[in-house]
Amino acid sequence: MNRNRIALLILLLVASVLGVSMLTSAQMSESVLRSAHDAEWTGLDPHVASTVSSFYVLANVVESLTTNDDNIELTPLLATDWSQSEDGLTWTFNLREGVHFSNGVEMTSEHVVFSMNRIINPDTGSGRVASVGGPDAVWEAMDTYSVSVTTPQPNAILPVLLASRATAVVHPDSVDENGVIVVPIGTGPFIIEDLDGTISMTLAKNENYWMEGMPLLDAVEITVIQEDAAREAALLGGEVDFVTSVAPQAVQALQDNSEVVVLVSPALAYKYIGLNLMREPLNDVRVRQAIAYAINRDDLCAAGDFGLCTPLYGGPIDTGSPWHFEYAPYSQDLDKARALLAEAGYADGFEMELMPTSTYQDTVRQAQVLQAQLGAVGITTTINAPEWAEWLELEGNFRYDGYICSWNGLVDVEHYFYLQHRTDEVFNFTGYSNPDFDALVEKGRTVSDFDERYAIYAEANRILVDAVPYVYFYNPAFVRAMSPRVQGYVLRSDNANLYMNTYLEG
Amino acid sequence: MNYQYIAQRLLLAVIVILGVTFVVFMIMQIVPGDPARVVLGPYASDESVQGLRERLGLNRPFIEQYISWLGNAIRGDFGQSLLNGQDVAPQLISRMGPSFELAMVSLLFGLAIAFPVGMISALKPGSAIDVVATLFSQIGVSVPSFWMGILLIIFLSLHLNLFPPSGYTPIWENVSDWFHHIFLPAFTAGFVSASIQTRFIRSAMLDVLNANYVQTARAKGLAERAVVLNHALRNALINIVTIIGLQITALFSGVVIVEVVFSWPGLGRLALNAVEERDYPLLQGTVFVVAVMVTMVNLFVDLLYFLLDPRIEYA
Amino acid sequence: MDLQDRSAGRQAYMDDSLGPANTLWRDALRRLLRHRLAMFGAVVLTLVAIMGVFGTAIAPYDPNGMDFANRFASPSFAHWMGTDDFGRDIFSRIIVGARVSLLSGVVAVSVATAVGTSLGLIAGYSTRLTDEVIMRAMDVLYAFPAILLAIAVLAALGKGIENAMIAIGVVYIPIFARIARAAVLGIRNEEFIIAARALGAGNIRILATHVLPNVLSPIIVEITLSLAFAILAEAALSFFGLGTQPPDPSWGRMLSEGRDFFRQSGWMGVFPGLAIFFTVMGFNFLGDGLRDALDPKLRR
Repeated sequence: MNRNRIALLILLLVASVLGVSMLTSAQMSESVLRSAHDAEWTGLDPHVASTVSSFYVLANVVESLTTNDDNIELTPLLATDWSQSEDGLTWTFNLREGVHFSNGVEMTSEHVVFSMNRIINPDTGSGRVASVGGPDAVWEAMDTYSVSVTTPQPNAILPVLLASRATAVVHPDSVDENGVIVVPIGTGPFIIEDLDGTISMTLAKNENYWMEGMPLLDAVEITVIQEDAAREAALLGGEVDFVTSVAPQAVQALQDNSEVVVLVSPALAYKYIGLNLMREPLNDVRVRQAIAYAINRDDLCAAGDFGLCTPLYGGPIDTGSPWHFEYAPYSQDLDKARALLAEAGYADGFEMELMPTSTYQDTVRQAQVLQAQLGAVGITTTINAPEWAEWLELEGNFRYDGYICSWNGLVDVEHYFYLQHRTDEVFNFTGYSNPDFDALVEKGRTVSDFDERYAIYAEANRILVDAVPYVYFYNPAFVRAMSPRVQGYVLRSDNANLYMNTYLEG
Repeated sequence: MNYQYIAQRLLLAVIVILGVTFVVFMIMQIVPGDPARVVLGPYASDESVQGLRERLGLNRPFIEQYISWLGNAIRGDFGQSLLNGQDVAPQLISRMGPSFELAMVSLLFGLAIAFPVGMISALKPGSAIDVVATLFSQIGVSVPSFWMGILLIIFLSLHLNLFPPSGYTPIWENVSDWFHHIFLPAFTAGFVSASIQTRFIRSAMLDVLNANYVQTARAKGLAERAVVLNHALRNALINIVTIIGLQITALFSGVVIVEVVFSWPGLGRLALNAVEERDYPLLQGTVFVVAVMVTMVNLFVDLLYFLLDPRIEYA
Repeated sequence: MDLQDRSAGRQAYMDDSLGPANTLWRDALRRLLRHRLAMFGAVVLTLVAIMGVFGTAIAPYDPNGMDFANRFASPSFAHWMGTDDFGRDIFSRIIVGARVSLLSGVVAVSVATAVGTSLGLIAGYSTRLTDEVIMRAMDVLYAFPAILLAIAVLAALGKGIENAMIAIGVVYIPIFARIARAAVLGIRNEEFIIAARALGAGNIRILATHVLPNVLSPIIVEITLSLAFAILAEAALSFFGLGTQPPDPSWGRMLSEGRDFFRQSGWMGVFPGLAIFFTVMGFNFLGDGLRDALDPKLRR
């Protein structure tokens, strides 16, 4: 190589930088939304996937029998109506006629039965068996447009549980020879095209979509930008029209910027620490109550979500929900916390480990605040922040003192209590067990009258708040930001990311 | 050219690549974390975890899993991702291009900075210009790359809106758009590598400038320019080829952070995701491709070496 | 010299000629003391070392003390470098964090040097077969994605700062092995070695008393340079959440956790970044100075 050639190369580089900088990016076709998601999807099999990032996509591609509208009221989707038998053991769903999968095949009862059985089949490894009636539920096609499901015990809330897109109806051709759904064939308003691993995809308009005139967009081009600063810059620089989240601390500045529209909505979600009831001294309810009294939820909220949240001094349900319960004993009270510790024989405190996950930095921030707050009443804590994969294994096997996590997308009151706290239930990772509580949440499942159910769960809530297997921190808020051109997008408190009604102006 | 030597190097390369894949496989067995749990999330029952493990073939003995992977890989079948069921091979192919491009452009950026700086400071060692050049070359190698990347995004993207902070356009679709997108990640990676290259080039030049044959050339009264260009530079090239080889290697496997910060669709980010999600087939495939690339570059550099310096003998 | 090592090792820029030991060291020290940049590096490192040793004793505030009323305070007389997202004093955290950064460098490089140099010496000095086995193992290690290697080591040993340091060290083992081996190959047939062998000295004895002292200079240079890289590696591990565990500060963790706030509170990015920058630069300058000083050809 000689010097002249290098000089030439440098010149070329400089010239192209200058040239490129002066170019403005070409205008996109008007009905294509460019959206930046904040995390890569972890699989697109609706029956198996569990992450929010997967359902940000899937909610636009597959549909379930029932759904929640923008006000989180139960409404029909693939089923038009449903009824429960006298004995409460059987539900019958009448299906919408004229619904076609994206491959053109009309959806009938056999597809529903296929999908539900796929979820129940243990080989699928679905985590949603309880949502379709449990392992012993029997799904049957009554005729072309109606299905029934029979469960061993009465289940009053099955239509509510079926509103989850994780119970979606898919065409059997979605499943490949390995039993996996790589790209689902659904009945939703969009079709997944140009899927490039977990980097990018295009949601193309489903021309066969059953709802007249929907969706409004021709396509959504989805990319993934993980770094907060980069995502924000992409939106401000016009690289994308829409982002699924912005860092909480940036919300204020963006709200003051007329180039951007920021939506903030309270979330049907909560953040909490789960305590291991199988270990000393956390098996003593006084110790757990002491923790609940020792913490300052405003500071936790400030550290984790920068004030975009509602503190929870009792149970997990926000004031905005019809299922909000008044019982809220745990305002910060250090003296009470110390007294309870002394009563339990830990006047000098004790040591415990906090387990956030390094994958979600907000949990690590909360752990640091907890550490300082618990230290004030003599509880010495160490922080162990494993990455997500390892965290899941430790949590699933009770190998922790206190884990920090959150629950999302909770709609019915059932979602807050049954799976997490019933004795030996699948999501009960604290080891909590109380026959009175179990009886209440089991009864709650069989009752459909609101007032009657409210009374039952108010009692269950009180028992649980007093027993403190979870110490609730706060309800967070969801945030979306977009260019002012983006219209019709609704930020929902269940965090469903639906592009169907979205359109671009101008 | 000695064919026996090349054959021997190739054989060793194959052994190293096999070794790497085997060690990866073994490590993934030891590392805590279960892909089935990652797929199913924090609220998974033991039954569903077991069901999924069985379906994914994770309950088979470790050696059996490795041999079946190897057998398929030799036939070009890298299996399916555990997490999303997509075939691994097309994902690898789609990431190879961007990775290769990023490595090459970073290298060019690096060389464009390192060559002049390294040469000048070698020609006048200890002078003010040497000190300034050394300080400059220090910057890239003295700061964490994610720090520099984020600062570049804040200043060049957010404030000045000069370059996009993320995204990738294939080069055949729109060259200027491609360059626009590759600029920030390549500059970040290239600046780090420029700092290292500057040091290499400076020392390599110093070595040859002080070598006997250059002194002889000077003594013969050749103009300094001719000495530098004809004698010193050519001989320094041997070392510089080595350095470039090393840098390419590093750029292939070592720009994970840059890829994450700038959302670059490269192999490093793919490998990172695979590790985080315990996606064994995806990780195996990625490591395999990276190991092959690295080994190939090393081999190529060796052969180039041979061409540049016929004095080298092969044992 | 075997080609494999030239192509793969980092010694391309290093000197491979070695003189008699004693005068070399004395001359080298004199040259080093005259090396301006190296002395600048030494001064910087001394300051960092003082911060590392005295840490909490000289920090004006409790480095982990939170003050929510005082979050994101910009630099002032009370808080020279401002406060972070928990209202913690950044200056105090930088002082205390010096210990982690220095230690991670020292521990990591000790591991790499001890293991790598031994392996390299053995490889260079033993039979062809042993040599091949060791060096191919090193190739495997080298061709490995470093972050994966670090995750694996951390998973095997458990999390924590010491283990993170060891993980970084493991990544650097092959580099030391190659340098040591190359240096041994350069001198294994020198007269003084052959003489020692003729006098009946055992292999280990020869390695320890004759070979090692004569390969020290490239290794010393590599040590200082690797210290710099190890400090950056600590930051990189922190970026992936694999470094020190909270709340104890390290510069890398301050940067990686603070990166979401750089825009709103620039001081959270600037000061830990500068701390890393100066320390790494200190090691690099010292390394450059040592290399020049230990390299007789560069005498000027």
